Amino acid sequence: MAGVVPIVPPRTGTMGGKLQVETQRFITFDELCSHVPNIKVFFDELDKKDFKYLLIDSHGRAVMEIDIEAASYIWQSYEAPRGGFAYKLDFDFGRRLPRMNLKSIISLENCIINIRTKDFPRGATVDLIKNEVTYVHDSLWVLKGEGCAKEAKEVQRVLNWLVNDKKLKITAPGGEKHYKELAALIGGK
Amino acid sequence: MKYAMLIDVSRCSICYSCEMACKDEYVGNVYPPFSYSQTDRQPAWISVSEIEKGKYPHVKVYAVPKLCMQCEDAPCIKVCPVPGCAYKTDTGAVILDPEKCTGCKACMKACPYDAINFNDDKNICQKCTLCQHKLKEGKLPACVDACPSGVFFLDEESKVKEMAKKRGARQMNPEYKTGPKIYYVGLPSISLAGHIIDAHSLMDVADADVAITNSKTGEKVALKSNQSGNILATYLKQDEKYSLEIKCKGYRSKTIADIRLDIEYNHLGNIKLDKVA
Amino acid sequence: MATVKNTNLKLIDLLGGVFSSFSASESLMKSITHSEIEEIKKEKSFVACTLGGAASVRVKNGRVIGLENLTIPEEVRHFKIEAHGKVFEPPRKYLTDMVGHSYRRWVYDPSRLRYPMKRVGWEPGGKGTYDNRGKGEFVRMSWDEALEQVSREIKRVRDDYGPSALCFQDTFHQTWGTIHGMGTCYTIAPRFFNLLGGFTEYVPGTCSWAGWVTGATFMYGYWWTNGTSEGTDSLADTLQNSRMVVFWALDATKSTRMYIGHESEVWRHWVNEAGIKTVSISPELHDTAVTHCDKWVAVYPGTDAALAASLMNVWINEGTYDKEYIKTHTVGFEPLKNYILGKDDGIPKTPEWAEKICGVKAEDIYNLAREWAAGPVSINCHVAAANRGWYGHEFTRMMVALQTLQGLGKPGVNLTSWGQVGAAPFDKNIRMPGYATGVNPAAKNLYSNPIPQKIHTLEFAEGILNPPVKWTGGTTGAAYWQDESAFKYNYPMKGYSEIKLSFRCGGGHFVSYSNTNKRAEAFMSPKLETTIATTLFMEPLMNCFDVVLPACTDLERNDISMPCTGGLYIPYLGNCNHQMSIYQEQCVKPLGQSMPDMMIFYNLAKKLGIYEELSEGNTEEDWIRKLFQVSSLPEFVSFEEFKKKGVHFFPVPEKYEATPPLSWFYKDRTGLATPSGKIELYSQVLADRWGENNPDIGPVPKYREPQDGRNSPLAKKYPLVGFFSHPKFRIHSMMENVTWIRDLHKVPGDSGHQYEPIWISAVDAEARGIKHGDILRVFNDVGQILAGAYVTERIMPGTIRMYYGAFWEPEDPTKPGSLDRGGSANVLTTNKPMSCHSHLHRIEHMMVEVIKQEGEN
Repeated sequence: MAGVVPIVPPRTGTMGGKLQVETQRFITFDELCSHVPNIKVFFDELDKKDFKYLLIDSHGRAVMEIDIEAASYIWQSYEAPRGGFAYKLDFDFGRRLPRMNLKSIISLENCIINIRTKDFPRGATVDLIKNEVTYVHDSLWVLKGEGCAKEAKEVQRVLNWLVNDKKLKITAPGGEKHYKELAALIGGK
Repeated sequence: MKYAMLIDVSRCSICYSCEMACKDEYVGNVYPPFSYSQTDRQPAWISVSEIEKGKYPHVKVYAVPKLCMQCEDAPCIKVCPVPGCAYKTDTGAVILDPEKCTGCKACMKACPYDAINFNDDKNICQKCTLCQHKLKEGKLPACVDACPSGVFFLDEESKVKEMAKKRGARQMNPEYKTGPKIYYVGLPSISLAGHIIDAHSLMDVADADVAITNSKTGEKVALKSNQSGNILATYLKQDEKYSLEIKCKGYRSKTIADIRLDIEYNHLGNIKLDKVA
Repeated sequence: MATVKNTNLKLIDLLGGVFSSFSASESLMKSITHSEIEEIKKEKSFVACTLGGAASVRVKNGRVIGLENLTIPEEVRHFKIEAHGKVFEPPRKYLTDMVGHSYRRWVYDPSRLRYPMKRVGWEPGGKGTYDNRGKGEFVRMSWDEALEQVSREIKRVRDDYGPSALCFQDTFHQTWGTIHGMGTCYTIAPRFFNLLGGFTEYVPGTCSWAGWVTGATFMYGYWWTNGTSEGTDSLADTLQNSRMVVFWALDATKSTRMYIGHESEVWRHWVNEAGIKTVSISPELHDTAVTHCDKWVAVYPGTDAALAASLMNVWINEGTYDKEYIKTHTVGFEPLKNYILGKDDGIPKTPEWAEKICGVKAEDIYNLAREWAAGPVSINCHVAAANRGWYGHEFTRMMVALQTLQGLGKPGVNLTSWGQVGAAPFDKNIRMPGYATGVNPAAKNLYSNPIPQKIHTLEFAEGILNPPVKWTGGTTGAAYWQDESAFKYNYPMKGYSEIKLSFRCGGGHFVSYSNTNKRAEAFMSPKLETTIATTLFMEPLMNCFDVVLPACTDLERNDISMPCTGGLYIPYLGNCNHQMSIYQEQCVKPLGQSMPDMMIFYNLAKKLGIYEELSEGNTEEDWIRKLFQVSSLPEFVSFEEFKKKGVHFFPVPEKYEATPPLSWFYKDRTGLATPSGKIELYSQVLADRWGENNPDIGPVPKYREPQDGRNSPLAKKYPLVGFFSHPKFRIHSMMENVTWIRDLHKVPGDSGHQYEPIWISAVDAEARGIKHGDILRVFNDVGQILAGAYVTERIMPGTIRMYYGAFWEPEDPTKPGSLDRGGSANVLTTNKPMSCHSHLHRIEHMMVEVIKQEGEN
């Protein structure tokens, strides 16, 4: 179709307003708190229980809003491979880095939190999207079976809350077994 | 070809590239038959002395590179007890043969310029060889090549002497009478400086004619103020009285009498000229 | 000719050298053919790009034996500038400096780290002991062990605490390279950490440009180049059109050498040969002033803005400023005028007023002001010392204001710093990547850091030792500086971890940052479970680390670069006499087991399963080839030929079109990156953000009295104004171990220890019974150091000068405030930021006192 130029919207000009784009990205702690209410609730409960925690990884698809503030643009059409036309839209913001905000989270692949106990920075790891406990600190092994040491009690306290109150499933390899051993040795809540 | 060298002290950037280039050329490197490795620690075979004269705020700094003078009438050659150890090459440079040297230090004691160093590791006396091994390949000595400021002018002796004469260059300590082959422009000397300005506008007066007269002998030095109104008269005599007269078109002449040169760098400060009414 | 009689001596001399522990004689004893020996014995020459710019390296027997100025062939067309009846043409050699000429001494120094080491008592897993950090007790490790333990440790910390517990710190300045050296620090290393999920960024701030980044930018934009306007073509502009050149707070010969050598020194001589007036404004009679300047105007440190204001006072009162230009090219002149004439505060900023503050006699101020107004003036003041000290941002704004009143962009009226930002003619169409963009132009994928948490260098010590901390602003002058200065930060951020592991690339650097003792205390704190550094040397600072990994210098690996340019904030602007690209061919094998920077990360990446993404399958040669492809080089030369020659010179275009600095603005009257597009003598942005009455900053440039300066209560205890400049005999703290350079300037003590010199005026020395060569204790509330007295008339009474960057050698590194024998000036500086709006270092100026240190030193 060489020689035929398709009609396109105005080729160049200035745009204003806001542009929304969907993208894969890491999600920060503040963004999780403001956009995913049930995750915020989880964090608040952790705060109340006095459990310390750290965000390890959170990745998902989100809508980012970009403040255009008068950027020049240009529509370009070019020949696509194997014939026909393809279209490209270029923005030029000049030297000013445009302001960007996360507008909404479409989906989260994961949200991995480490919950620390007094003695172990990584007492248990949870994935709040899969609702799973993906790692349990093997406190009994570390303590080489010294019995009901207070370190092990701390891990058990966290696991109890995760399993019984928050209804998370332990998928960590050997995690279920370890939890049962702790429960047997220490007993109760 | 016999070489001589002219050094322009006023151009020196005090960058020490020459000293470092000398070290880089010679430390850990041998260039038979002229030299063995230079010591890792100081000194190099060229050294730059920063000499300060004057008193704040009128200070003059002379950065003087010093090397072996490659003397025409070298005392080191005269006193060396080992035959053929200290000799002159066809370039006019003086070489201390590292093979033959026994480390007796007689040359060091005899050299009035302190140009010879003792290498503790090798137990020999060493000094600048005017980079003989480089000259033989048509290359410049390391210090000359390294200098970014055009301080060193190395050429055939008669050309250097001609330039020295033109520029009023002098040998260092000519009273030693060893026939040094290095001529210096801008060595420290008893000096008188000043800054000539318009009494009203306080701006610089360039191209003013200045005559400095020794009150005792009547000797006169004539100069012009430079683009910034500065004047500098050198090689005057300490503790002798001078008078200074300034003449400039559009201005009344000014004379300053009874100037005593108390220190080595004397500065008259701002000298104000009044315009002709 | 004398015959060689002592063959043993000769062989050792040929192969060894007095400071070598590398035994080349051993390798020659193995079976090797005669022709192979002959090949090795031949002297080879390589083109290199060093910390002193381009150079020609001599290699023999597998060892570097010397460095020389690189020659530029006759066929390469270079520039000629006609001015004042003369033709100025550069020499056909690249002028390296004392750094270049002593390079091999640096490369082969016995303190080179040759194998990985770990501190005795350190164990991975945070289980070791910490009380001997700083004591320098190390054991050797194999690379296998080192890579295994370091990678496991990185993984452990990341898995336990999250990636925010990793803190990667670059050193801006170490070896030259686009892939290795600084290129690794800027691209490969952060890429490595980003692939692991990110890291807490250690924000270094820009020590050398602080005042420009947070001052001048508000007047004329240019924040993408750290607040320095282009210096392109200012060489010809100045030679042909300027009546006077002013070096303001800039020892150009010293300060513009870094990575460039003495290329621009020739230009300063041309200024003298052209008969152009020259003035140096500085508290010291520095080398540039000695060699090149007709006048030395001595100003107290930190008072330059007052002097500048008084110059403008004279011009405004006498009407000797460009009134038309003010109307057409600027906004906000009235408020500035009101400040200068004293209409707002009742204090006219006359020379008589300035004299009391800055120490320059009023008569000399009138002379300077009237000479300045009589014709175009070029100021060399970028990177100037005053911009990194008390209210540096006011100094830079005053520089812009001065030139604005005289028509900035008019022929001969420019603001520059030769060497650092231009200014010789060059081919403007040449693209060449540099360290700031590193491997990125050749990478398929780029990875950004998703961790929002940062820690600023000024808050680092407090943040590690006593968190939480918070601050406003303070990153390097990136794309959005004007907004950035208002960003609020806190550490640690909710949901993110405190730093547990610190990885430093390029050795210790905290002698170049504020409050060295406090910084070291933080580094040695057990709160940092593991500290790792890649380094060239086992310098004293390395004692603070747990694991040290040996990197190699730029002569020991392959790379590609252009001298005098880094890309991004230091693009090539005609910084040297000849524009060239260099294939940095490996001259000699890495010493011992040292490794090129990128390979250290490659090897760690293999252990951590991110090698494919990090390398994209590229070897060192692949990256070099790809960077070659994105540059302009393929238009002129094939890769093979470029590699063989080692260098390609770009001739100056035959028909050269000069674009002197801001001449385009002079013509267009608009287009600057300011809200109005013009020069903003009054900045609405600053007024809106900080108001009119903030003590640190306001919309109009002003002289501001520092709260801890010579007129403050602090001065009663510590009466001497210390100014701590960019070092002459080092590049920050690099070259500090080079004996040849140390012997040039260090002051020997009785014990043989070499002390860092301190310049003290004859008047102050006499008052304290101090003689030249005495060892002094220099102290204030922050710390104390020892230094060797250099009594001189070359600085103003009431001031002392030291160069920062000396090795830090405290008597007891585990005790904060311990006496530092190395003479590291930043032991005396504080973490106090430059101003409420400028969260950057102000380490040029501090009040101190000195006293003779009795006893044997």
